[in-house]
Amino acid sequence: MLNAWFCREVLPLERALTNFIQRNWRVASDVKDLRQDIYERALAGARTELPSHTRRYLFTVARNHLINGAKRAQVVSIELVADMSALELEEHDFEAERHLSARDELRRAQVGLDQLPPRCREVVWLRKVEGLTTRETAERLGIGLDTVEKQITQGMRALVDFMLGGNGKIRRPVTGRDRSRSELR
Amino acid sequence: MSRAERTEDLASQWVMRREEPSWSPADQAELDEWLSQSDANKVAYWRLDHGWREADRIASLGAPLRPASTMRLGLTSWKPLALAAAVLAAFTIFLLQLPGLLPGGSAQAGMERFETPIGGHKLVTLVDGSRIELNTQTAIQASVDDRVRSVWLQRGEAFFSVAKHQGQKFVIYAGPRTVTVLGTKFSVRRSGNDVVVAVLEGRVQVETSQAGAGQKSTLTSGEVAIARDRETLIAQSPSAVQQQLAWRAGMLELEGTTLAAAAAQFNRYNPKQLVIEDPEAARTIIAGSFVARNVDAFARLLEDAYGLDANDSAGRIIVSSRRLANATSPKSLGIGSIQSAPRSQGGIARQPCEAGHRNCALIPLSPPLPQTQVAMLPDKKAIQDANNWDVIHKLYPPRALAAREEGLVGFMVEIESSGSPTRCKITHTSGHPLLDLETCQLIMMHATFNRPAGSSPSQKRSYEGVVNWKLPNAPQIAAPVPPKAIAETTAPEQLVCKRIPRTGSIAGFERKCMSKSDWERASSESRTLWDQLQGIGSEGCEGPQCK
Repeated sequence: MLNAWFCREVLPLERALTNFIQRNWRVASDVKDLRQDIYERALAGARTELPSHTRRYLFTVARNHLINGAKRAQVVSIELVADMSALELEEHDFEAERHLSARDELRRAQVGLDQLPPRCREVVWLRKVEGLTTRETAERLGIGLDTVEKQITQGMRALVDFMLGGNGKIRRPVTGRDRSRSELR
Repeated sequence: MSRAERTEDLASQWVMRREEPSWSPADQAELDEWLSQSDANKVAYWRLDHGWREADRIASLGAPLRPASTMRLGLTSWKPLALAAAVLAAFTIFLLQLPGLLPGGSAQAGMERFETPIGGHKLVTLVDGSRIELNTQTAIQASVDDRVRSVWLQRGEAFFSVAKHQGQKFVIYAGPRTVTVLGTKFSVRRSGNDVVVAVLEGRVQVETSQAGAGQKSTLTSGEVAIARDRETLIAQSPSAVQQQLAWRAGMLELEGTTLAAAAAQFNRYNPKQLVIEDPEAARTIIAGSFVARNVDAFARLLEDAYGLDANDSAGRIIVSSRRLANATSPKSLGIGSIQSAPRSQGGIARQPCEAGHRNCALIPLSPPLPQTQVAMLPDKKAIQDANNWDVIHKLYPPRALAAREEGLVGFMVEIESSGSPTRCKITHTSGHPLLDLETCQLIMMHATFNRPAGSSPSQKRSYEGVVNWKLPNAPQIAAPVPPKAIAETTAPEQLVCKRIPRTGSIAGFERKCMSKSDWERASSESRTLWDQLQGIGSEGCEGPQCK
């Protein structure tokens, strides 16, 4: 039930939430961690009783978390403190976001897929459209299992990010080991 | 990698592993354990799982987006190659769309060709297990590979039972239309550029074949799409589907079509051609179900039940009105014949006609008209070569069907040089004003008129005709309501059609038909709107630009 609530009510707010964090937090690389923390807290708080206004609830959790974080980090942003009213403003953003039609979502999925790197897109395509397993994909493309797995997980993360309103870019950890391994196979 | 990213990475591996066929209860237990460790895990997993499932929608995108599988990337010079690959992918997309434009493709491996002669009927099975039933005079080419199954319907009619294969599309290219199958049974008929799709089970998608035209419609069971040029009309009518599929049992279902159209249907199946000699006979309305390959029986029926002459000579059957017996023979509808065929009240007896009955004909009863009213009806000219009105008949307005409205609708249309009608006027009412209006609408939307030989192309023409709406299997014909004379009825309004540029398209047009007063209302509404936008509203208007 918690799961359903989270997917139905919270996830559609992700874009707005990310914007909210970005606006109020200076360190861009923290955004994902903060968002994850906020989700976590929101979930913990909703365990006893589901909030009646998910949006209001989520953003209250977000604001409190940011304020706590700012206090701890001793970098208090002026906007954050003055942001009490921002919650109201926020509502318009995601009202629009929530009512994406199935068609819009398809288009979004399509764009998200299109902007994946070619190999990754192909692997995702084979899995989603042709329903191939990891092993079949590896055989079809003549590449290693672990490469396929890596492509799927990366593609999945980027695509989900994009569908929930993010930029859908793959954050590719470029290490020497990764490179040589993918090249070998 | 940040903390959140590490969690997400783990979660993505779980989501992926869970889709694998090797997923076991032990794995599930392990996942449950991992999820219960922290809310962070739960959140990350749910989020990815949900989003990833949402992305299933891309499965509906179909083959053209699929990138080429031969693409190989050297990861050392990642960026330039990725760019090149993107270009290549774009080009592949283009190539993959080509099959719709190139019906040839015989060089392609595994292309098979099937054909039937006149009167032929053949069942073929493709390597994937799909079955295709070919009707008379049909030619198809089929190609099956592990990604897409394609069939080109070059001419004729075919019924498809598509075997379901996950992710392997089934696409039918029928000239100006492309039909994409989403697992189903249906028929496609093509004659020239007219395409008729009738769906028995499941769903199919019909779209224009031209790239960029982009009109898509999804049909579900019991629906028929009739496509011509840019227009596609979809009607929900299980009976029309049955009628479209009657050929599979070797039958022709005719529902109030003219003899001319009926003959054309028979001629598709039989080398022995029916030739209708005089226009009066051609206008006879035929209804019933007939064995398609037994044209002789049909000819006999024409003689016996319809009072026409049918002469078998040199491999042809020539049908003409029976000149001498004119006064006594039962004639079916056609206002001209009503005048000349006095008969007992109620017309001739109707033969019992049930589904599956072979060679059973419904003889339409023409309402016995009092002489005074006949005089007010348009004369013989009224029903000119009503060829192809069977298309209209298949489009029985669902509302009228539900309300069980039927009757004769006389109409007059003005035709522009291209052959499409510009105005439609009711000259004879069926007694149901809505049915009259719907008839005009159908004509405006679907009818095209050939230019008679010898007339100048720019000349405006008009055309008068009658559509006879007849309910399929009307329980019984109650004492027919005599059609009211035109003068007595509140004359239905004329319909005016205009071509309007389609929003979001440079070249696309749509036809819009409204009655005159509706057009006036619409135009005055948009005028007021523009005025308001420009600040010339009717209220608070001051200054020189105000009237």
